[in-house]
Amino acid sequence: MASASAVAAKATFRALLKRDFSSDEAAVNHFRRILALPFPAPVPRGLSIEQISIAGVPCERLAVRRPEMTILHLHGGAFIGGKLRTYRPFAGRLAKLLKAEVILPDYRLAPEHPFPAAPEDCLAVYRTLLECGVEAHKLAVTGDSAGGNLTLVTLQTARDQGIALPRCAVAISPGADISGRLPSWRENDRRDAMLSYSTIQIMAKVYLRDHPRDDPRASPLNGDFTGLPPLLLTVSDQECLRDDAYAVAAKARAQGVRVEMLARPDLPHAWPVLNVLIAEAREDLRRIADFIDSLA
Amino acid sequence: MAKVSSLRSYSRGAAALVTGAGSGIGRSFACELARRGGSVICVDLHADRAEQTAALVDQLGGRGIPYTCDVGDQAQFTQLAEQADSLLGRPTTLVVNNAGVGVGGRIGDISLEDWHWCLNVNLWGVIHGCHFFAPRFRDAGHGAIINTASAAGFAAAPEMTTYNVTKSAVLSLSETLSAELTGSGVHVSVLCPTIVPTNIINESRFPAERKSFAAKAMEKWAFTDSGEVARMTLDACDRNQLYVLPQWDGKLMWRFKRAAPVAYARVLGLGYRLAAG
Repeated sequence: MASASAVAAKATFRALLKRDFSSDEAAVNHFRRILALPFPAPVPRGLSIEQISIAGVPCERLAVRRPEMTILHLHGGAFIGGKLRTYRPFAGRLAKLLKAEVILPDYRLAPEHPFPAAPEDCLAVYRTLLECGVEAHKLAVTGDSAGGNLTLVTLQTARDQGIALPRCAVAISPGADISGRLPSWRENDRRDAMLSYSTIQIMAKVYLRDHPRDDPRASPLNGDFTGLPPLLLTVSDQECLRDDAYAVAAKARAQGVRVEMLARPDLPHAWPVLNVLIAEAREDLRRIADFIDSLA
Repeated sequence: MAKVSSLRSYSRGAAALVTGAGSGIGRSFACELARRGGSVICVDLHADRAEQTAALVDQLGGRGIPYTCDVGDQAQFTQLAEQADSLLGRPTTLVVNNAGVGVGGRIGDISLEDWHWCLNVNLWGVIHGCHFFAPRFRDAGHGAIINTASAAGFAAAPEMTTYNVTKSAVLSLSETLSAELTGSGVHVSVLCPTIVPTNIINESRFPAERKSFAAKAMEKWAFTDSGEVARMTLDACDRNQLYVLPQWDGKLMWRFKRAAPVAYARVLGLGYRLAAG
């Protein structure tokens, strides 16, 4: 059974976020409005927060006093929204648990900047971090939802371009196959508290415009996973993007990647980043930190 | 309430056979078994749909084997039963008798041809599955059978006669089988959902005006998804539950009918007269 906090969070998301939209524009405006709501964002004590620019991409950096490692977290928001401020509790907690600095890039969003602006920004930030002296074995890439997609794309592109790969990666409820062929998009259309089949289709259209949805840089499930570092996937059984995680796990394992899967039966999409709201998120955030730490 | 879960899981790493796997709840069963690392023979009347489901099973971490067959046909099912173990590469451990079609209309209006067609798929398909696999599982001392009945099996909604009759028979078959197999290590679950959004309406034989009503009902009054139903059913099977009622409206009708069957029939009849004018 989900905790009372998770049930309450799901009901809130269902009331605030889930809609049948009349137009693409309405969907984008609605999502941006909700994601920009004043959200309680307490930051753990003893962390510094600064606004920096990496490779021309504005970023937020949360760090403990003497960070021992770096985490690049790619935020979610369906490629069209997402406010860095709301990620502070999550990023701050992660920084504390791992004695790390967490970098949150504010990559360019659709519809103003459609594909491939977002993956380009993420790769640029990743590459520049390494060039600036961050050691690959002290770097982890994490991302939730759309950011989970970007995490996988960044790893695959870095591998293709001969850039050093990080210690490990964490994809939280990633969207990995935008083609919409996987069954859970429809199967969980009603049970998902945030997203629905029609909403994801709209977001995919806004993000990709006319670009082919099968392109591995948009749908990393179609890409090659050979040689990627250990991967942790978290996913809820109730969400539309459920199968994206399962299919990534199956394919990556078949191609020799060490994959760990954290599946929960009844939590909302991308719950680990909602550690302010949901009790299970705090527990699973610790597991994510343990995973990253165990590979040191 | 759920019993204490048994250590043995029927749904994890299963060697399964799912009928009607080309769409709807059957496809969801196949995909859910795949996510749990199983091999699945995806049986469907339509070859292309069976292949689509098998491809999804492969993609989700299982092994999918497409198989085209009419489950109501004795010769075809006999062949399927003979080949199942070799197709899976090991003895079958789970059979999901799920294939079903709908027939609607008042008694007398439904053609006898439609009666035969519906009984053939909904009832004979399930009988075949139980007939061939129950003895094997009993001998092996392990296995599970899941039959897809419906809340229609006890709710007796008017103008769904044929469907109700077949589902009621599946319910009875499952109950009997469960009693017979008590203590043998073989578990039987029977799924009784109410409205689940699938394409059963398109595949069914209804009077035209009823078809649009049913399609609307499916859109408006479905509070769950086929994926959730499949997941809950497999979990319930692992917990050794016989009756699986995944929705609250089904549970409500079930309680009402069990507690006061005569009152239930009256209320149903009155409601029907009011609705039909």
